[in-house]
Amino acid sequence: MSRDYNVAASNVSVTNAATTLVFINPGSTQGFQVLRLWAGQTGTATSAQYWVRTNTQVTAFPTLTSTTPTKLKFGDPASGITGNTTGAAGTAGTNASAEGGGTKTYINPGDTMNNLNGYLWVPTPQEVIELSAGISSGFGFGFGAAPGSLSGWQFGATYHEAG
Amino acid sequence: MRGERPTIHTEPYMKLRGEQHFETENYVSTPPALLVLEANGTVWTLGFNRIFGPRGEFAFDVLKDGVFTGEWASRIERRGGKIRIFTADGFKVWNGRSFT
Repeated sequence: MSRDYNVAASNVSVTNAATTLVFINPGSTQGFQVLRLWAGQTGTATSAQYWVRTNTQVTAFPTLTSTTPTKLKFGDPASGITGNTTGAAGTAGTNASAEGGGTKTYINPGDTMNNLNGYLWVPTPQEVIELSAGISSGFGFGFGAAPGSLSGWQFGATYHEAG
Repeated sequence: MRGERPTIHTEPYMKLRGEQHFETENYVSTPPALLVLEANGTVWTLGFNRIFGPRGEFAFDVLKDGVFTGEWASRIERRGGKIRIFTADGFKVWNGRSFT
């Protein structure tokens, strides 16, 4: 299983809003399959439930922290998807500071996580989320509402690059 | 890949960082939890290597404090104060040294 990449952030503070944590937009020649999503925090020891969700977004994308995908196998090439703040095609970023005006279509509109145990989503093979090369939508994973604790967050996504 | 030693990529959450503030309760499993944290500070997580596992699920390398245990499982669960993993060979329980 090669050409798997992580887009992740660790020990960051998020905005007090329904924030996109990870955003990956397929390129003109690089599609991808989402294989894993995770989120957790160490900012508070008080247990709470948070709302997380996944979506696609078109046209006007979030404003992000540029995050270069990290390859998971030493022998793999660098991902064709690069880090960028704009969420444009062929780029990835984390921890949005603004959500962008593009319409979001929710894939899983409502999942719940406990902040102490954290959140891990892995699909069964048939549930893999796939975004083809050249489509006009990017993939987002984030909070459905402002989290109660804003600091010490770690989150990310693993994708398999195709094309 | 089962039987082989996988390439281990770790993220910071796979090891205890700083002071321990909680212990994972019984019946919590990963997934959907990100990790299972024992009272002694041991962090159990699923790694990033995947194979086709039991019942049509993916199985992943089982990591103890970010180190490969030699096992592949689709789920890690804390039950009865013990760590259990769901493997292609059925449930295995951590005895302090290995899964049996």
